[in-house]
Amino acid sequence: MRHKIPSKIVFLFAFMLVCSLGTILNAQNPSTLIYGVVQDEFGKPLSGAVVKSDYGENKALTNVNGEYKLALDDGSKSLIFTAPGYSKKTAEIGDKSQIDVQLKLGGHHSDEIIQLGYTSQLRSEISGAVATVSGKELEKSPIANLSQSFAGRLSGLTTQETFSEPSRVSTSLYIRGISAARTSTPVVVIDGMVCAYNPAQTLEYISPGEIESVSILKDASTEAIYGIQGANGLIVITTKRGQQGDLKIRTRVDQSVEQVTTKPTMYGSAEYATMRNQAASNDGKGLNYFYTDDEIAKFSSGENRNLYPNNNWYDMYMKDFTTQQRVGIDASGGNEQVQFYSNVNVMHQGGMFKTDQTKYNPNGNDMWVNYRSNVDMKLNRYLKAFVHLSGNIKRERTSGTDINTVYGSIFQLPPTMYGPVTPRIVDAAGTVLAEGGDVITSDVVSSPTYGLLNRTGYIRHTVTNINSHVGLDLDMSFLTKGLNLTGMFAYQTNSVGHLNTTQDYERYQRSALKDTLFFAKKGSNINSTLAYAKTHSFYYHLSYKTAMNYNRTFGLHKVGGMAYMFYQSLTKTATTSPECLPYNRFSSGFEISYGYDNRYLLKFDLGYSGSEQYARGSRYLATPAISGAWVASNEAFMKNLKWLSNLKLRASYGKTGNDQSGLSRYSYLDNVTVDSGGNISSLQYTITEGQVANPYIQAEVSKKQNYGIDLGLFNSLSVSFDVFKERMDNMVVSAISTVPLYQGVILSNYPDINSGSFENKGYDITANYTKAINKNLAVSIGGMFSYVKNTIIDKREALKDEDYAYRKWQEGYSYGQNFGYLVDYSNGNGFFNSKDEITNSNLTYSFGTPRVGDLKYRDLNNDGKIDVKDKAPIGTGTIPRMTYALSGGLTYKSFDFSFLFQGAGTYSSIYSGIGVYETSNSGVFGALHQNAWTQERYDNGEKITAPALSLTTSTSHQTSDYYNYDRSYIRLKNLEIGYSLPSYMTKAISADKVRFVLSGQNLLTWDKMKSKDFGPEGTYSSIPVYRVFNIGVSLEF
Amino acid sequence: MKKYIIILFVLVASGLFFSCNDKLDLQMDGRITMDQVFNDYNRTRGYLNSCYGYCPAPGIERSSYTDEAEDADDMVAGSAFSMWYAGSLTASNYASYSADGGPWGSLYQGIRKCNVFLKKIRTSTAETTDDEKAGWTAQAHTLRALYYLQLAKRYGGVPIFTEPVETNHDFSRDKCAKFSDVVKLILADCDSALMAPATSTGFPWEIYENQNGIMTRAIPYSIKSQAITYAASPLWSDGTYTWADATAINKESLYQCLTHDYKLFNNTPVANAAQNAYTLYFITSSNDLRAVDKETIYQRGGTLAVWQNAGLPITGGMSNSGQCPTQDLVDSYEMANGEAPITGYADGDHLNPIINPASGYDPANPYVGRDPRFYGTVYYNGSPKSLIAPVSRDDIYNLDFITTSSVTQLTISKNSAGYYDIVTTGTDPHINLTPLTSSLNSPPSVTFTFEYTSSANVSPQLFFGPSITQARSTSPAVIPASSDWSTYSVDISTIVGTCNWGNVGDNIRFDLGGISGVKMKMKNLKIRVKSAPNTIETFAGGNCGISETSRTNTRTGYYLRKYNNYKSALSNNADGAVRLFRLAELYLNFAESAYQSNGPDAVISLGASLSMSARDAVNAIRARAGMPNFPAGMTKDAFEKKYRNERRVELAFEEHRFFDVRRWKILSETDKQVTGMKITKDALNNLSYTRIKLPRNCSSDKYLMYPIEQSEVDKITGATGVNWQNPGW
Repeated sequence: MRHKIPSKIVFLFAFMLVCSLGTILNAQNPSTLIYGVVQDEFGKPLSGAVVKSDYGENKALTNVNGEYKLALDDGSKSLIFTAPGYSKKTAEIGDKSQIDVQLKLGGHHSDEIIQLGYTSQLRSEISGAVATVSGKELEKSPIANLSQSFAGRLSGLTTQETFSEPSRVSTSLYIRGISAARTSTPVVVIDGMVCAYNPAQTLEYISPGEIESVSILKDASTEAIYGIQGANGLIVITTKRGQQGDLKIRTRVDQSVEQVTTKPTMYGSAEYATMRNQAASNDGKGLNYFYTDDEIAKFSSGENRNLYPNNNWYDMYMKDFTTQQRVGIDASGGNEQVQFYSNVNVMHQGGMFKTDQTKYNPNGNDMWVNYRSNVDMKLNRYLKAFVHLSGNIKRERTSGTDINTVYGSIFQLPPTMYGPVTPRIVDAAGTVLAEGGDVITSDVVSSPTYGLLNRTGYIRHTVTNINSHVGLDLDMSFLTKGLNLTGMFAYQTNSVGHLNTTQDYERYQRSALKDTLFFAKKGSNINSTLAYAKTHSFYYHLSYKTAMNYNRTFGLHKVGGMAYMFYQSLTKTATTSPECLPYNRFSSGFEISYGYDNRYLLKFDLGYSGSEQYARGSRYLATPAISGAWVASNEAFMKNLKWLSNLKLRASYGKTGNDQSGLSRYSYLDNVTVDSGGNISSLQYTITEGQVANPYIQAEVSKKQNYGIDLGLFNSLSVSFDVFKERMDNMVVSAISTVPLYQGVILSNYPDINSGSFENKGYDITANYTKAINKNLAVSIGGMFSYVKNTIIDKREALKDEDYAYRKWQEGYSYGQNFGYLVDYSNGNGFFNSKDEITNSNLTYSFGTPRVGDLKYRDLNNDGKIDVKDKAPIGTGTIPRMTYALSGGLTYKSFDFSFLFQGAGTYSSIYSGIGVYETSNSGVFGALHQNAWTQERYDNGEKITAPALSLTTSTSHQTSDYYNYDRSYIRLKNLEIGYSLPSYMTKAISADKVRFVLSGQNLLTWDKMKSKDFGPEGTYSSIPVYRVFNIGVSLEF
Repeated sequence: MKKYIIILFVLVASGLFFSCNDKLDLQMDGRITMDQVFNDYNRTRGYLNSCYGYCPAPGIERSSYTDEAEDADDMVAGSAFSMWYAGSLTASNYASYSADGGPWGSLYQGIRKCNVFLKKIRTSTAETTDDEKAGWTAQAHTLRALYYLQLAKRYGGVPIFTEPVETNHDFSRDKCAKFSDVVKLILADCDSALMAPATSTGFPWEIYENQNGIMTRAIPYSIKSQAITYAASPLWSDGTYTWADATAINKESLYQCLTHDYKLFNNTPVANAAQNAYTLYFITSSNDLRAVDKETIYQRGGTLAVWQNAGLPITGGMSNSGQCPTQDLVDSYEMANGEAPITGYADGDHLNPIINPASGYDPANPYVGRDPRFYGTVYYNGSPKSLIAPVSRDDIYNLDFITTSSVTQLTISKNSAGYYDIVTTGTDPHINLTPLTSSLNSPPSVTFTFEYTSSANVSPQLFFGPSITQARSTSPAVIPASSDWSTYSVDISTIVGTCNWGNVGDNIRFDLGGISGVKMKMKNLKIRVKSAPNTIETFAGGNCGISETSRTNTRTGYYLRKYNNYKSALSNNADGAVRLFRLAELYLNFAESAYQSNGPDAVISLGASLSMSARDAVNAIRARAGMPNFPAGMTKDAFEKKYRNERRVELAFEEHRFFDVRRWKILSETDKQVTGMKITKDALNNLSYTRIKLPRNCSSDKYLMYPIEQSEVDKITGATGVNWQNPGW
């Protein structure tokens, strides 16, 4: 039983071997040598162009001078020449041995092969919705983590950088937004193998240089075949493969300097003390509650910095710049029997902090090596084998406290505090009276930055993530031409070793006495020496896949077919049941495509898949999809329109599935277990009741429609427009919105049901213009715009009481819709500007009593009371609705230049917490608080940027549209200037090409945030997005 | 050959599309069914075990939401206390800021567990005796009653379920019951529990060693007593239960406990352990065999760490001063003679007390001669920290000017009368004093003092040598101009401690302000070391001084002493725990209903050969505390006032006050504000006492009950069309 699948697979492999051996006796054709030069339309040699025999058995690449040599032995009658960005050209061989060709710039990339994960199609044959980008394009971004390079390069992909620690950046990726009311992320497919678990661990550590192309699959016709893994879209990564030809070596060395894009306002101690007094005064505690005017004067004069410090904690801990180094080398080549592509990259990231610890280094420091080795072997006439090995090995060091926490802690202590450590006291004779050096903190902060950074030890993670794909590929043309069978094993193993060297430290607190420096020990922590602990976690992921492909052209009819079976078994790091049990999934499906005369294209897909998540009766899901396209420009009546180089109409409709619905494991079963212990130890045992079953729970189905038009003009301008609509009617919804707590089951254990509805609509537009003006000058410019809006139709939401201004807060709105109070701006500024104004408003607030200078909210239900019933929708939900980009470039002789602007729009969120509210810890003031409401400022008609300051939560500290920040932005994401050395110079060092690069990432940002304290991605206390300046050189041999 | 290949190929192709169910089924992972639970002895007991643990543990934190204490975290933005005091609580955020979160959900989880158990135990096939089964059932009934009691005292009327709610339940037909209906269920559950045989395998009075925490017969009696007392109280009374009904149940509960070896803890503490039996009780941990403590009926919740979380700033390692007892509470402690020191307040802010002349209360010496429980509950200015008598010390170290060197910007000469004439000549005049000839004895209180005359105000600064740095200096109060000889003294304990000053050879540099031409005379310069390590100083600037802005210093002038063992410190927590039920409450509940139903002095028969009046019951409590009896012949109103004060004092910091002021509906009077005592010490060490007001905004009627969580209300309204929310929320 347990070995059922493997035995089938083993059987399959044996079968393939037998088949191929059976045919090995077939004689080989005699080989003929063909050579020539490939040039562009201006006669410039094209290097890296592919020359392939018609039957596909023989292949060669052009060298730097555009020359190729091909040993032809498969009996083909013609050669096919392709190069990225150029139109395909077919040349009859006849009896020629020299074939020179000129390739024309293919403005619409119609001959580009689009990778769809399990299959591929020519761009001209696509009937679904796919966006692609080449690895070469991604290489322009001087970044460490791959998905940082995606923004603005794939239409329909929304990217949100959610964590910005250099080289450990995480980016949320959404393909056409979300398909259900949760932030599900797309599935990643790497070289035909689904990487279903923790894909970031693999994806983020692929270097752009290894990548041939990245595609995102956006519609049902491309997603359906993936069954229960398709609904959230897919990211298909295809890595480079070796080509028959001479050994090619490429290296690239980069040195980057990184700098934060935003920096919170840091106030001097006098300003801080003034604002703190102001807050106390607003709260009715008198004018000099914390500091006397004399003390403030001393803070500002700096006469006694011991008693009146002025600490800029940010400058004390943060470096102005950090650095990153990257070196990559790849080698590829091969002969007819074996082709390989190998790549090794090394990345080093320096830390962002200024540290003060001599015994060990607590600063962040990351070092990775990632590698890839793709080897393809031809075992005999029909059988090929491939071994793809890739992996990343990371050594990451952080301070004992994670770096994000350390960063966030910088804002905890006020500038007026003495610190960071107690003073060392030495007498005139040099005798140390008190060693000092103890970490100082305030009464409300338990762990200050100095301690977190310098006194908590360090942690070293060693991550080893290795992917192995091994497979056989059987050309079954001995049965019928165009038939092919592939079998593949994939094994991913990820092991993380943590070396935790931790220590604790004593905290001291300065006494309340203002005229002396006296420190008393705070809390029970003691100074400890480094304690070492080692932990280890491990997961592995085994997949088997077999697929049969059929592709054949009969005159004007082109027929294709594919069928596959895929089995995944994943064992996660969890050590307790049921999470430690393997996660198994079985998928299968087939695809049939038919094309007539490059004019009419039809494709049918069916996925059939299931997982251990569901009971037998509802385990499997069929996901059919159909799509078609009409290439009008290939019709006879349009062929003569010279200006219209492409016109294609596309449509697709189908179902896709999703099994990542946030369910607990085996939620079709009750989870009752016996444990020992419990509340009353003398009873010895206790019963734990977990999940209550829903035996009918099943995978979600998203029905997707896509309609698109591709327009090409003058073979230079390509425009595509797609509209789409997705709807899910069996969305898994939890009990949280309707089931009252009083029924007694913890709501997270209450059964979820398939009863929600969700809709997602939008459109994508892309436009590209490329033109080679002459031999020396080529230009390109492009742009994309995507709009996506989702709506929760039904989420089992309870209808609120009728006196609510809005009786539903989720249904009818986008996922993540915020609700808050609306500020009443009818008096001009939205604040209560006088006592009378408060009285005359006749409003009572349910959450406190408003002070003068507090926000005046709108009483939407007109009951004279501001309470939860007056809340109204604010903002746009979790995901930006608009994403757009503008890119362009030109090459002139040896120079090249490119730029990318990228942006997001229709996106706003309500902010709160540290730096937005001024009350955190001992008062943390952001840029806006400087001009907070005061009577004086109001009377003088000065600009007011915040409600009256307060020491504690005031009525202004509520979710309201006052704190709604518009997070739209446009950013100069990437800029690259390259210069390639002329060939006489490169020859001197025996290189084919030497190119110097100056590039930058996140160079400029224009946003609409209310303050400059933080950027549109972050929050006040999270690590901001980094800007990168890079200088690099690449050499090709 | 080709034929075989085709056959093989078809075989493989068909294999591609098999469905693969076996591999996707769950292998055994240890789950069992509910039937398997209740057909086994251990697993059935295991389910009963899981019915425990849903009652909120009482803590001292709740006292900060009453007039018992002001929390020093009131100055921490966003703290529960600042939110509460500002009146910023709403039905949506209440759970984040209340003492026990929103226990609605977890209490109903406990109720569901009990319901499942009570339903399944009827048909359980677990092998056991009838006694044991009845005992288990009794425990489940008791737990269910306990959970409903906790719900009702917080939320008032709540929906009642006595059967588990299934997932196909129709929520639209649910109803919210009245408070009295809930009490009816509670009483019925307790009575059912008490039907079980009182055998050791059934539902006994006494438990075995290591059975800690399990239900005993005293608990349903206590639950009944509290439930009925609440039900007859003004807030909840709807006529269903009268005070006479309450007396009937309270006397039964009290009688049953008294006749089953429950008695007030009255062990005389050994010297230096505690001041009296009452105080000792709260640092004594209760024990399953009840060997020492026969008063505790049920303790839920662990040992407190008062020393740390409501501690004194002079205790190393404390983190905040937490629950600071209010002046209002301090005022409620009678004098030892049984007279109330304060009969009321002349003003609404309670800053001007009306003193009862008969009590002997001295406002200038307010902590003398009070109820013994005061000394066990509150740390006040001048109260000893330790009960071990300190070694008293008053050492004098004479100093002198060094007139031969280090004289800067001043002239100095010694007069034949023994004093120095000093004239400053610059803007930074200073002079060194002679080094110490012997090290200071461990210096808890160090003063620098001298006698002087001066022609002008001088702002002195002291540098603590031998090395002269700013960090080792202090700038004490101005030396006022004086033509007559005056004494100037400055407390230098803190700076001496910081600098580790006080060894042989250490000296002081004395800076005499920043004005030229000041003429001074000085004599008798000395360092005075007094040992006063054992005294709490809450006056402004004292070792535990009152503060408005520090969370490690008292806000009211008092610190919490109840539950605190003075020996508790960083590595030795010997503090006590709060009891959920103790016998004293049963006495008081009886007294309360009895004076209401029968009058203060009417003797009521509790049972065979045991009878007492309301006054007797209170007196039993007072006797243990060492307080004189209530006088006989009080009017009902007078008795009520004194009784409520007694209950407040006896049950202080045990969570009772919070619920008592609510059920009595006096919240709007008691919690409008609280007061503290700001004590200042002048140069002559005279103390002056000023009452200070700490405003609050959380006494409106909406605070009488917990709100039901807003999201729950929305769901209920959505399902039933009726809004169950409590008034005002």
